[in-house]
Amino acid sequence: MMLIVGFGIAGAAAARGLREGGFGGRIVIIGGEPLAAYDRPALSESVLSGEAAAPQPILPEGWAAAQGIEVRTGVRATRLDTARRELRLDSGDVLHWERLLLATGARARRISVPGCDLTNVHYLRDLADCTPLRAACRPGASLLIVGGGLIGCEVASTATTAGAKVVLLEAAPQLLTRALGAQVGAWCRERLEAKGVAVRLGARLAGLEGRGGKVCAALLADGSNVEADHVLVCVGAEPDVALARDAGIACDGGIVVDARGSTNIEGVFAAGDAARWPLRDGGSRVLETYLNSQAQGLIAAASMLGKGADKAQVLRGWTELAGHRVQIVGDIAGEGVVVQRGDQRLGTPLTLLRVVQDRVLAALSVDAGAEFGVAARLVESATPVSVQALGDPSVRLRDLLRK
Amino acid sequence: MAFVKVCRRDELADGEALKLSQFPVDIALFNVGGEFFATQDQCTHGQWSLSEGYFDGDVVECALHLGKFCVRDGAVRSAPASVPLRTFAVRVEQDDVLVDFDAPAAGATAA
Repeated sequence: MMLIVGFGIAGAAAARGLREGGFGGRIVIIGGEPLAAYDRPALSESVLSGEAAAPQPILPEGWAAAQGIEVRTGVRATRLDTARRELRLDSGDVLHWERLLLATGARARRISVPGCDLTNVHYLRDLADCTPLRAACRPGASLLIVGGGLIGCEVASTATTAGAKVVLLEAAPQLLTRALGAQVGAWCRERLEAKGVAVRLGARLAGLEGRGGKVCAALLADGSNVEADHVLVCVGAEPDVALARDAGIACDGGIVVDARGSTNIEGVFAAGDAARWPLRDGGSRVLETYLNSQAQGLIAAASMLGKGADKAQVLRGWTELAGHRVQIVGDIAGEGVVVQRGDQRLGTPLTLLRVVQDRVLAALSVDAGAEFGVAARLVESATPVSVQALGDPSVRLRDLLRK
Repeated sequence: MAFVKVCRRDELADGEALKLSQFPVDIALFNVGGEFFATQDQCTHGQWSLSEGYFDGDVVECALHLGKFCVRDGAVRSAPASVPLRTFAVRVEQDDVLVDFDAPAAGATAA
């Protein structure tokens, strides 16, 4: 029996990969949330704004049932025994598996400042988190966002568009530095400020104050106060490794896997936001993107069927910021030369390419989808290119790829 | 059934895609080695414009979730996409490319 623990994009992709890979036997998926795998990135955008009543499901309606896949949602795994190949659930059931995929995802990192338990202090990871946060996305609401990463910037944009008054705190000197680099962080800050978001950089939260059990203000480390009737804390995610670690599976900032998704225990695999996967350009880490989780789920499924091949990862993601589509492949921050195509003042459409020794290691586009598709191929294929050609607006990226 | 001119042949190079916005739904027009094909522009899976996707041979890959479609008949070539694209009949007359919004491409899998 193939057992998949975790029903997000990685788990759903793995289920698909097992069936498409020719496996006709029993597949069971365990999901902690009460619903089937859904499009999680929409939670900070269309679902939060109310534009979409619910996120889109990942798997087509009825697909799992038609494929004879057993889906158990709203159930949590409580204990894993890799020697006996047993998984115990909080329902009391015990499942026996031959191959196991841990796709347990990540949780929002919690903060512990005075007042952090007040009502209307929110986190955003699951659909259940989204419903209470919707109250902060309407005219008259005031929302303080702690953390200027992707989720913070996405929600700042969504909430401001919905009419809320938004203050965005970031401890670093710029927004988005970890996810998209300081240059795009500065561009995003301008866009958010133009929409009316008050961005405060180098700002640290010292505590939260309440009135009648509800948050009403934040105290910052510099002594200043920010009034807010809702606070969203989005200061990163932590891989959910408890089940794996307690079972003796190697974990170090994520469940450690090789480039096929295998853990140190035979027959046990990991994928998605819980998995620390090797990177093509060196090192290993949890990538926390939809597309990498989807790819890892498929690779792990092939490995579970004994057909695995090494696939070290290249980061690939997208976001929507202040009405602009941003796409990224590889790590845009790093050594080498950054070539900019498009408007020289970070207007859009725009594509940035980071080049090291005539190879494009990373690319980032804003509102330049077609060009990004080609840039991503340049990164993935490691096609030799010259910095001069990349920077020449009369040269099409596609022509560099074909050479 | 009415073909309308959408562009000149030389306005869309081989391997390129063009978004057409003059119809009730946006259409993506593709040039595959001198042959022209038209499909719905929005991916059937996510909210993304396929004319902004990665186009290679006769397959377009949506940049959002990497689902793939054949632009000739709209057929799904790779998950996570599962619903075929609507296609539209295309005709080339001298230097002009014409699209019929009311007729599917010959051999299309979607209505």
